[in-house]
Amino acid sequence: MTTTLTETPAGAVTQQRVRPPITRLGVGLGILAVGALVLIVVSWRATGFGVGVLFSGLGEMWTFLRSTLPPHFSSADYSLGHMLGDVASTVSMAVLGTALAMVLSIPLGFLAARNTTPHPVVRAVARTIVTACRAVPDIIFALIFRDALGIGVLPGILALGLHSIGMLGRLYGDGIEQAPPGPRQAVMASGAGRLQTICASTVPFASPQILSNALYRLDINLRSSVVLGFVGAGGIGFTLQAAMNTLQFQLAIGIVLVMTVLILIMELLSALLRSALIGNDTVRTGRRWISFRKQSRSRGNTMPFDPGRVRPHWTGARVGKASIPYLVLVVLGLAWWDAQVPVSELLSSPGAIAHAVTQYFPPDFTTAGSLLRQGMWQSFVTAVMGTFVGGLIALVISFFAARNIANSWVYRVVRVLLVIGRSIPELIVAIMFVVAVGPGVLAGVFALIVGTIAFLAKLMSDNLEEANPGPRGAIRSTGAGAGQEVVAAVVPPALPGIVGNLLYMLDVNFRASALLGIVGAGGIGFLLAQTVQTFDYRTTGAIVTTTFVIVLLIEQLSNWARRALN
Amino acid sequence: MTTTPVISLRHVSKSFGATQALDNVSLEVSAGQMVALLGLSGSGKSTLLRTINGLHRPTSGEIRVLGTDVAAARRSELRMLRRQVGFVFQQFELVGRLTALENVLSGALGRVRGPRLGTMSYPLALRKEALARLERVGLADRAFQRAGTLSGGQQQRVAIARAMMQQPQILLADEPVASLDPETSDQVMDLMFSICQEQNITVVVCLHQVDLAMKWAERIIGLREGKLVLDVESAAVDKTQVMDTYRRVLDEASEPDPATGGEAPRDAEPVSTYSSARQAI
Ligand SMILES: Nc1ncnc2c1ncn2[C@@H]1O[C@H](COP(=O)(O)OP(=O)(O)O)[C@@H](O)[C@H]1O
Ligand SMILES: [Mg+2]
Repeated sequence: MTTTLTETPAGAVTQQRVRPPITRLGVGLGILAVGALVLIVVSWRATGFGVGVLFSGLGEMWTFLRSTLPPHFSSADYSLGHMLGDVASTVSMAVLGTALAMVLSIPLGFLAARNTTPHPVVRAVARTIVTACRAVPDIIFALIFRDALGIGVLPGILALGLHSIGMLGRLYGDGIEQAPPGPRQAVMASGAGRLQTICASTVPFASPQILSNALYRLDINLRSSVVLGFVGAGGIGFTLQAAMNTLQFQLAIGIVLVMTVLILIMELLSALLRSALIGNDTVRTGRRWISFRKQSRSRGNTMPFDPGRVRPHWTGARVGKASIPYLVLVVLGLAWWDAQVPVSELLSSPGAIAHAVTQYFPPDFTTAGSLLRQGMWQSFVTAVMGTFVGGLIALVISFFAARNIANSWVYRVVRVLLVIGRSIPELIVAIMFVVAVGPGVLAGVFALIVGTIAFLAKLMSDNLEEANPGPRGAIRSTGAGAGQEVVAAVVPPALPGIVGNLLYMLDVNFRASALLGIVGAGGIGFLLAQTVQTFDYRTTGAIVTTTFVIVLLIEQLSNWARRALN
Repeated sequence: MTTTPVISLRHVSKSFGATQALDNVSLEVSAGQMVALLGLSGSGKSTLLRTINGLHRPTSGEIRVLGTDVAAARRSELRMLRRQVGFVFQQFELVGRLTALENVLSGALGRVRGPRLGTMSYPLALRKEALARLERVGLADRAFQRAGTLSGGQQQRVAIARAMMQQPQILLADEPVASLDPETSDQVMDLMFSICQEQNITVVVCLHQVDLAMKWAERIIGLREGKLVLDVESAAVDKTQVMDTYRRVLDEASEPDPATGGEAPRDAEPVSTYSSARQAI
């Protein structure tokens, strides 16, 4: 009874190597890895990174923190009611900005997705618009609209709306592309038209993601809306900056505390809503490695059959889902009412906006001279260091924040700590490090490390949780230990996602480090703030253009690496 | 035939809440034996296999596998046991992103210390062994192809090579060919049994298809609602007899059972399984 499988020529094993063959892809990834290593070493030296400086500065940080205690929630000329009003308008700004971005991103997403776009050229144009929106920092959009429309919430809304397209349009496009082709073909085969097909097969697949990603963006926008206030785009940020400029640190920390709590609540709410929208379809516990779908299927659908009834039953889940649109409308209405958006003003001002934009052109690369080059380089190495060190720490932490790996209590505690960590505005963290280690790139590196850990540890643990439990059970039944099991069956599927998120973080950090300079944490932000204050628009334009190009390059690299790893 | 039992169950029962998955099962399998486990979906086949390698603890009864008291074993003892017991799954359960060779290598994790990532993290001797095992299943030329891009039959052959990498004394297979077409099924079963025969490995395999069981196993065991209802030497009976026995078991199962009172959701299932089993026959 010998096998008849003879696909391999006899004796092949003696000739075959037992190390992976060298492929072009492998070489490419190798070069990328070496390049990354060189970049890290160079950045390490350029930023003078070291933990010693931090320890020697802890005393000063503590003194500074003490001076902010106890926090004040009002001052002589700033009542609590006044503050709550500012907080409300900050929230309104975030809500309306996100809604605007969503409305604009949905068509862009469908045009940018390979399976729904009418033409490849349309797809390329849509993708470029989306990328451009991401590359221009929201603070620049805010400046443009402030110049055109004056100080207020409106510039903030428009800035958040346009900049968020960069993320939402991309996620929507990617999400729509992931719609399985089978149902599409089935609908098309029934003779449905193009638009009908999209509505019947792609839209139902994409719509939970569309809302869920918008909620996620709302979280991010609530954080950014504070910073936008710094440049006069309305909301609490304006007061926060005034408090810091006048050294009212107790009031400043009070505002930060209020915002932190608000962001925390928002994050929890949106996580709740998102899980209601998407549902926990996938069983994530590593223990259930053989599926029992058969059982659960027979358990569902227990409604009595009534031939006269042609409407779905109002089950709890349906009531929940059906109320979401109304909830959204109510929130939008409240935000609209609170923000008092001057629509007529907006409609009559395209000329002013166009004028405000043209001020930045043509970009002037020469006036600032070497300052521009230096600042850009500083921002870049700051971003590299922050991403690298923060990413390493985040990777370790992510194992404790993954439900399918960590003990359930450890998992909960770490997740809560990460949420709190994410709620503290980055600029505030930067200010604290400026106090501790003095102004300069080092403070920026530390601030980015803190932000990176809180953000990336979450994304990475999500990557780890996505691993299919089946192969894990198989590895466990070979008698492998727990650590061996995780590395063999959980890490490999998560790896492309982790690398992708790391590169995405580099992109985020580079844009963030361009802002950190505003509070003295080194980099191009210092020059940016200066040129903005001195109305040197064309140099600002040069800074934005350079940022744009670098962001594009990072994105190309990350696209390539992601594709190569998949 | 050898006489030392490598697997012995005495009055083993296992219940999940109200479900009695195994009901007073007593059974001995001696070294080198090849046993096929027949039974309808839900009859407790998977539960039996998972009780043997300690992934489930029995509710009552006694199990000894390779001298280990599975019901009482500590975690480290169970791990030692699992290293000697290979397991092949219906859905293959390979890590799709890793190459075929890396998947085979992961079968040796019980033999090395510490976590491993990437082919080169394993010692050369293991790599050579893994490649040889891939060659044995006819896939040496696919060593560096991603497991996820292989066909179903090829994936199951990689999974068999992975199980062999454990150098197991026992191989448990849970419907290893249920997701494959008949021709591929035949090849994979062929391969699995001949390897185990060469290396004198004891095999317990759940199957749906009577003819496959007849062709390969020397002993056929039937389960029904957790109870042992059939235990025959396949050499002592001919194919039609076993098929009759199996059918009889099936027919009995499709009749309303006085114990369960013929509850609604269970009704439909045996019929459909019956017809698919008939198609397989
Ligand atoms: N982990 C579990 N939790 C609850 N019930 C289970 C579990 N595993 C098996 N069962 C039940 O035990 C019975 C036997 O299942 P199983 O051993 O998977 O049968 P088979 O493999 O023969 O199809 C079924 O009724 C099943 O619902
Ligand atoms: Mg089963």
